[in-house]
Amino acid sequence: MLKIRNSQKFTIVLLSITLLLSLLIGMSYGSVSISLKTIFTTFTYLFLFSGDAAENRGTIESVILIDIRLPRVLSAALVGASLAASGVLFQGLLRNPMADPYFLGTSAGAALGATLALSLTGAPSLLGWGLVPTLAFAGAIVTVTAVYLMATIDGTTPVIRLILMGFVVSAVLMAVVTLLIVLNSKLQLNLRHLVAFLFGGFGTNNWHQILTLMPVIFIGLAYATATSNILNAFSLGEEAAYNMGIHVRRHKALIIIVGSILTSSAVSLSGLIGFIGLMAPHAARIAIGPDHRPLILASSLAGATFMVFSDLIARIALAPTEIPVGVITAILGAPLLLYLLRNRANTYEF
Amino acid sequence: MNSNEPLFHLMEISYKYHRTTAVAGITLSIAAGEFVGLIGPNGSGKTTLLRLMSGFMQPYEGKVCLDQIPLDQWPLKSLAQNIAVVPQQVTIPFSFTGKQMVLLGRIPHMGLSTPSPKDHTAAVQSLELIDALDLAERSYNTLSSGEKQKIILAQAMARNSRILLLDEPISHLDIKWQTQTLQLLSQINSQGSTIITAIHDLNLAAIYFPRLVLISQGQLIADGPPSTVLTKQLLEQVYETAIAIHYPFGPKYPQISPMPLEVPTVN
Repeated sequence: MLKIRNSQKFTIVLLSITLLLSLLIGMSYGSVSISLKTIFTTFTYLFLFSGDAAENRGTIESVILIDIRLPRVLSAALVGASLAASGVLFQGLLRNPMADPYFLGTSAGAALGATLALSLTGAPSLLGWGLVPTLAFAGAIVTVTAVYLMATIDGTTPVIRLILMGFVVSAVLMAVVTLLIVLNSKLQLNLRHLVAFLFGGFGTNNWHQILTLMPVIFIGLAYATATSNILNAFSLGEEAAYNMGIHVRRHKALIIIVGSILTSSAVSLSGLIGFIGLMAPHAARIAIGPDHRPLILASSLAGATFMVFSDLIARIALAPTEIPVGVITAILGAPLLLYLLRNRANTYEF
Repeated sequence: MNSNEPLFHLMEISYKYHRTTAVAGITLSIAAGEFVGLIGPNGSGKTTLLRLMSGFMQPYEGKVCLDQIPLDQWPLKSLAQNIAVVPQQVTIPFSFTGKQMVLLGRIPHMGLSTPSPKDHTAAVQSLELIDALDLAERSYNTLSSGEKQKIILAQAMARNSRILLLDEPISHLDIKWQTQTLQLLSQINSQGSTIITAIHDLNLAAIYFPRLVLISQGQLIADGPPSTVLTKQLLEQVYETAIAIHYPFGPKYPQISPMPLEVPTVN
């Protein structure tokens, strides 16, 4: 049904509990272990008084918790949820199971933005927000806008043209990135930071950045959930969507805008993390079915959980060396998706 | 609304795909409660005409009015509540169940909210009407073409709209379901819905539709009861093939056989 069924409610409750657990585990493990008791008391202080009060209690653990661990797991969860939700938006709109949040050029645009930022400043982080996340966000948004405008001819924007245009523009921008790396000596010195951005990670996030993007991401997720009937209609094709009274052009543009803002927010927090935006929607669809209302929620929860665990593994597997989290999402995610597709595919025809 | 005014009024409408003219100056009036069969060869413009009537495409010349109001002045949502469309085929990238597919037909009534009990009732009722309750929990993409066609029909019927536009709704059905579906459509029609159906099967068209509209190369060739539209001269001219007409069910229901290009030898 398009109504959320009991079994679907159960799955969503289960996913929420798993996410909560992953956050606790993610906060607890690391180079310094923090006991659940410390987490609990610190949070009690944090909520009852203020962040400062909790920090002023002075234990090293609570400082690590509030300044390092909490922003880290929070941004991992936010990034996972955004990429997973925007994966559902793009797969639904483009009617393409291979679509992911980077399909319309966001990743290439963000990569170019980050490259420009690193060649301009030489410093990976400035002004609290950092030039890299700012230009990555801007680059992603500008690229999607350009792809959309170039794919629009005579007022129509067919999906197939969007996909091809996204592919072409991505290829060109990545070539420019390569060219910049070769030509710009300052960039070569910053290659380590660029690589960190291109493979993704949660090392450099600060509260300022998280608190700015959190409301944006939550509004995006709320919109994505609210628009589920429209996504359902789009899965029948644009003519059918029109025949259901849906303003096809307007909603197509809106879905692309929201999907791109979610993706750009994620990219500006973590750099480019692949695979999760493709995998989480499929995993969620296998668990809960193709109806977009429960799907968006389930996919976001699954994406968030998966990202928090991936980041934890990235931190502790080869400690003190940190593995780029994109490596973990691909290594863990690919077999998981393969397993689901091979073993649960009888309930899941494309 | 003046009851003498037609429900649908197509005035001198033309449509081009790039440079190919698909519909060339068709004028047509359809009154509320009619049951109209749209016939013509492949590529004659039947589907385009239906798309112009649903408002999905706008004519580059002329206009289409519903209740004397041009289609482009209708709010999309109320247009969708008035007109349900059954396309030739529907493919979906992710497999909904039969019932989910039918419920999707209620979107013009649901807006952005979840389906109400009323929506569920309408979905179940239309599945019952086409005897497809057994497909309710099956995955749409695993169904046969005929079963898919039934689900798509149920999806349109769940809309409870006063107009149904169908594009060859029986092309994938077996002979039992071809007649059952046309029977069902004529029953829905007798309850007040206006139905316009593109159909290839001239023999079934002759039996079920009181009014047939024959188009060829985007032009209206004939419009009237089967006995005046399905004539040997008109059909041979339009379909460019030799035919024989016989009347096993009486003079009102002409039945058409194409003449074999080579007469098979009988031993």
